[in-house]
Amino acid sequence: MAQTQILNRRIRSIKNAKQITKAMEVVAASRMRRVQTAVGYSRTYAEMAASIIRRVAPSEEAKHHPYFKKVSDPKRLYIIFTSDRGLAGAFNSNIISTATRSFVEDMASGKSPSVVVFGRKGARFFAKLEDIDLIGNYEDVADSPEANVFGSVLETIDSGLASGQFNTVNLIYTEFVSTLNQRIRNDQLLPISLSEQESTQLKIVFEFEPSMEEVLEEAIRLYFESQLIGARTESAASEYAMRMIAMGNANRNAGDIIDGLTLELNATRQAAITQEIAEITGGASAIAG
Amino acid sequence: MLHFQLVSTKGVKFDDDAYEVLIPTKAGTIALFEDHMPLISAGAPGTISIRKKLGDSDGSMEHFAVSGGVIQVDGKSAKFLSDEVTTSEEVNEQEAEAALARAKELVKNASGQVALHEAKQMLHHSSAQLNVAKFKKRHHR
Repeated sequence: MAQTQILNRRIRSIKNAKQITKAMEVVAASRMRRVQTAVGYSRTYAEMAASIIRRVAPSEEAKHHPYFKKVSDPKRLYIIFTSDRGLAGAFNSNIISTATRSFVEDMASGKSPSVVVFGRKGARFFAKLEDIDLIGNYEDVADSPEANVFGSVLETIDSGLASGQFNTVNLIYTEFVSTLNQRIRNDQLLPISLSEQESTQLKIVFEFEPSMEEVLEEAIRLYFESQLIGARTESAASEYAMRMIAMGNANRNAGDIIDGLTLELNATRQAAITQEIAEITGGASAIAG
Repeated sequence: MLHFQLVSTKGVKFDDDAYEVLIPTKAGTIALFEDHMPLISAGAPGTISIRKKLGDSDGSMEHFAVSGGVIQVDGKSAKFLSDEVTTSEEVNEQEAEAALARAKELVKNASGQVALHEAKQMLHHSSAQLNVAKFKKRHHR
């Protein structure tokens, strides 16, 4: 009898876990759908910002601007997007392994990378790493943030470039391709390089007001913001998609375990009944004999 | 007609043909009509006003508050890209006034050049929002 009690208890606790995973799956699914529309918006915005950058990039002012200057000896700053919460499958470990692989490459050529990280999970991990310079971490950033959230990151980039701490900026985040497919991106944000083909196609001569410098400043700000907002929203959508899938799997696993345990429970209960009957019939035949 | 697009981080806020569009830029407010010379200009915080058809009265113009951005014009079409766009449906006068008061407070207490610049941008933006809210009130009367 003791055996069936233990099994009952285990089944009950797994049923609880199953309910929790179900709830998390549903929540992640609904959040993902909401963030998906924001991903669409941020892509349109980023495309337009890039098209404006392409118009200003061929100008003389842009060629001498520190953000456009090509570098031969890259010292990198990585801006990495992880999540605040876990239980999202391989979401954070994928990002972290891509990042550490890049760090190893940099260190092989004798340079220590600088890092700005978004998300609690990444912050915890990179704080423990030696040989990297963690110059900023941000937690509890909205899924689809306002542009001014990134103001301090832009300042960090500006001052780091000016002091020569780094001359290249990479963006590591998870791109949302579809619910079942997310891709890790490691894109170069700085120096801004757009393919030659795209910039020579344009024939219209534009007038710049009030001055090329001011247009350039504004265009660069919009471009950075659009890239960072894009990376954050894509990451958020991917995180929810991966959590939805992970929780779906966990939910199915829990169901399988409950099925197995129920079979075992029935078998032990039946064994106990059979044993009792055998004892009774044994006793009865002893008395009759 | 000029095809005008107003795009913010929260989506496309306006995408239609217009007769005249008033744009706040750092060199002052400009009016865009069809066949405007190709232009890229830095936008300033302020109000964008759109007259959809020739002969529409000022009262029927559509207004948006923007926080700055970049305008790109190439004759037949114009695109304004801004990180923050507020439509007249999204603001109400009390909230806008409260935001303006907050922004004024920030300008007063700003420490350092960067903070002051940010606070001033916010001040301009919230006063533009208040303007849009007032336009709406007039419109509904």
